[in-house]
Formats: sequence, C-alpha cells, structure tokens
Amino acid sequence: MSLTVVIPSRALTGLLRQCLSSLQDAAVFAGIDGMRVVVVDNASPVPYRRAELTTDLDLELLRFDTPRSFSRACNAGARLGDGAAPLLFLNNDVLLHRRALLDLCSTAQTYRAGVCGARLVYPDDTIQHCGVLFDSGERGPYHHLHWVPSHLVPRRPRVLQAVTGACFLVERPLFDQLGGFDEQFPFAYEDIDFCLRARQAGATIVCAQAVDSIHLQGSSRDERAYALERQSRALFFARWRGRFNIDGSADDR
Amino acid sequence: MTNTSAISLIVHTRNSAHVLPELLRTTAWCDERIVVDMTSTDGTADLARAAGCRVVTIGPEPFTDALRNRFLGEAAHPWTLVLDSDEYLAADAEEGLRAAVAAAAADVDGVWIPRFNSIAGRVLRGSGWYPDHQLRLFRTGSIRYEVAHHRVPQLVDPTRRTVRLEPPGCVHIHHENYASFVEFVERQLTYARSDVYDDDPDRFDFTMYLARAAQEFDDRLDSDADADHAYALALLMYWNQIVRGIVHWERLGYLPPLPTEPPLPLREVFVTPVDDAEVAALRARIAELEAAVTAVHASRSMRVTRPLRRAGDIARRILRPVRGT
Repeated sequence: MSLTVVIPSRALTGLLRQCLSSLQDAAVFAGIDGMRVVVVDNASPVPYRRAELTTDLDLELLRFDTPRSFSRACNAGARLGDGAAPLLFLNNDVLLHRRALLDLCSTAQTYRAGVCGARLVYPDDTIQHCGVLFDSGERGPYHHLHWVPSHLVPRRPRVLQAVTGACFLVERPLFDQLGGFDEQFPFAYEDIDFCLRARQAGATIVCAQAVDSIHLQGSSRDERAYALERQSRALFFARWRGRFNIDGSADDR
Repeated sequence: MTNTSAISLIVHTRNSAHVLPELLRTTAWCDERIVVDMTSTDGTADLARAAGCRVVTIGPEPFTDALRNRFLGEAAHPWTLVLDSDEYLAADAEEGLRAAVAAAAADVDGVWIPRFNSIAGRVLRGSGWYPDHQLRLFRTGSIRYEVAHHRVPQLVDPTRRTVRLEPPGCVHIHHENYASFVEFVERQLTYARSDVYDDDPDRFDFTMYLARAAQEFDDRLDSDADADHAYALALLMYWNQIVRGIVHWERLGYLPPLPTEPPLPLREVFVTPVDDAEVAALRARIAELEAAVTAVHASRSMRVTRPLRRAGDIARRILRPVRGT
C-alpha cells in the first residue's frame, strides 16, 4: 500500500529528524512500500537540507519563506502527494511507535473510517490524546482522559466526533471532497473543524488505541501561537456552537 | 504593456542542466521567462524550451556581468527578475515578489532580495554570507552591470531609489553555491582567470590584495554562526585574494615588483599571541605599521596611502584584544 505523509515544520531540525526516523521504522513495520514524505518547511530561519533530515526516505521539501498557518501549510503539502494514496498528517514533535502506522491503517480499514487518529502520550506515559470529546458551554472540544496514565485507558478503538491533527490519517477522496483544512483557522481547531465537516459528509472518525506514540506537545509553540489559538477558538465557536453532540464531561478527571 | 506589475525572468546558463530544473520548477509563475544560453552541450536549452521559456542562444565567450547588459533589453515586461542558473525560489515567492512590486513607490527602481547561500551542504548564516542582499528585481532598463564579476549593479538614473526586503519572514533567493570546497576552489580560479583587471601597471599594488585578503579573512571568520565551514571559507577567501593579486601581476607581465615583505605577515593574522614576549613583539609591529602609515600620510601619495592605511586598520582590528592586555 502507498501513503503520503505531510509534516509541517519550522526549525527544530533535531526533533524533525527523530520524527522522520520513527516514521521510517513504523512504515517498514507496516509494510508500506510507496511512502512519499512531504516536509513543509514553514519559514525555518535556516532552510532545511534534505541530507540533514534523512538519507533513506522519499522526501520532498516544500519551502515557504514567509510563515503561514498550519492549515495552509498542510493543504499545500497535500497537493504534492500522489493522487490516490491516503494522507497522514504528522506533527514534527510526534515520535511514532514502531507499530503505530500498522495500527492506524488496520483500524481505519476495520472501521471503514474516513479519518483515523492516533493514541498519543506525553513522555511520562500519560495521555495527550486518545480522542476529542465535546462539553457544553464555553469548554467545547477537549482531550479525552487528558493526563490520565496510559495503562488505565482501554485499548479498544473508539469512534468519536473528532481526533487531533497531530497524527491524522485521512482518505484522499474525503480530503479532496472537503477541500482540505479550512485555511481561515490561524492556529489550531482546523483539525476539529475538519472532523466535524467529515462527519457531515458521512465519514466515520475513529481513534486507534493499540500503541502509544510520543507527542512532545507544545514544543514548537511561542507566545504568538497562543494568541492565534484564541482567534481560532473564537472562529470555531462562531461556526460550530450548537452543531456538535455534547459528549459531556463525566470522564474528565 | 497594460500590466504594470508583470515580471520577466532572465537567466544566463551554460551547461546548467544539473541545476536548472529546480529553477524552472519554482519560477513557472513568471509572466515571461528568458533563458540566455551560451551554447550548452548538455541539453540545457531543451530543458528550458520544454518548460516554456524563450531561449536566446549566444556563442561561447568569456562570461562577465557586462554580458548581462546586452540581454536586459530582451525583457518585455515592466519588471525584470534576474536569477543565476544555480538559484531557485521558495513556493511562496510569487506572492512575495508580486507584493514587493505592488509596494514599490513610483521612485523606486530596484528591490534588494536576501539570499540563502549553501556551500558544501550547509546553509551559511555568518557574516558576509547572510543576508547577502542582491539587487535582482528592478524596473526593466533601470540597471547596468559593471565590467567584472560579482560587482554591485548600478542604477542608470542615480536619483532613483532602491528598497531592501528585510528578513526574517520575507521572500529569499535560494542559492546552491558549491556542492563541495573543491568545487569552490575551482570556481574561484575560473573567476580569477576570466576577470577583468586594471591594465595600468602604475596602479597595481600587491599590498592592496594582501589588505583585501586580511579583510576577507577577518570578515568571514564567524565561527559562532558557521562552525568549521567558517574557518574553511575564511581561509579560502584569503587565498582567493592572493591568487587574484598574483594573476593580476602576471597579466601585467611581472612588471611591478612584488613586495619582499608583506605589510601584514600571515603569522600575525592566524596566530593568537599567548605569552608576553609575543605580545611585545606584536605591539612593536603595530607601532611600526602606524609609523609607516604616518610617514606615508606625510608623503601625500594617495596611491600608496590607501592600501597601507587599510592594512594598518586591519592590523589594529585584529590585534585589538592584544593591545588591551
């Protein structure tokens, strides 16, 4: 099977190198032969060089001199992918478990899912992401079982309304049908928006849970990112308030 | 021409098939692309034609920047973008350059664009190598090149202005200068051999080249930014000036005598003094140089003064930490 991987990234070359190395291992384990990796160099102060990132992968660098939003970077990267292959969006601070890609692909297949998210943990094995739930009121979307030790969380895949875009497998026809991520979101919430639109189009959203990949979440954020995130949040609520199912907050510890 | 912001691209090539595809891929948005090909034998012209460029073929002759002047008139649009065949642009360059054109006031003729230089696998950040602004986007016909390699092009009308795009977060030229240091040496030699030198023996002064060499070394040695590449390049740039001086001297028929003792011995440039004796020796040398400069000042011969004053300045800069002790 083939796969197009899109990794938007700014600087953090050492981290990106480890990210690519874990991706390569996971791809070998999953038996993916035609994998094309597009690293979107989102205005790194020093442009990436292919040789400093990887020696083995089929890697394409898409360089932007001026910074652009996560959604625009992802969409631009996706346009370079080959036409039919599923798309994997990956953050540069995600270190995949060796079996993560196999788990993602097989879960997506089993559930005939349009979008499949991954279970992600912090370095101390507490949950960063095992699905996104929705609360009422101002809280809105939140990370299910955030900070709960991973060994207390069931391993069964879970069908949800949304998963995080940090590691996100999506069927190519669905991605094209929805026109990719909405480029109006300056930072964050474009992934939740995408999942809700995917559900409107009839797709299933599932989160694979069999293995834990590490997500060093927030390692690439700065002050500006937090300001942009507030804008994104406002846009999200303006668009979706009252239009998602309330999962409640019972499992929030 | 109705569109006042349309951009013509001009590229000079000679056996550039190995680097040209990247340039062609990233400049497809230009309103017109002209490739001036100097009788390449590696299919460069075919590549360019296949990409939809207009190809102008010229005979083999020594390439200097002055040659560029002949083909600036080929551009049909109001703005001209000049790139070298080993350069390319980022995916958002169209946006950035069109914005620069749109933002150019009526009296602005040219736009300086910062450039990333990559040598032997490393994108350089040190002094002299970055931001390395280049005057490459200008109103068609507003620029003339000098008769030599890599000199700064001049505005035809000096009352007009130019603006600079300031990093970070602006469009850049991406330059794959040299894949290796060997290639660097070969290219510098080619430039040194084919460059145009002043043919008046009276104006030749080898100490000028030595001063330039020391200046280059001093300017380029920025190891905090570029680590070992900085040392290698500073030494090579020093060497390059010496080579040019000797090539120039040879062109003049070995006529002016070379100085028996350079005003700035290599040892003083490269060796950091450690003990008191060496510091004292260097202080004496500075005093000697300063006395020489003063003496020459008194003689009022500008031809000799300029290089010597330059050498004295450089010596003082290099030895500043020593004098402080």
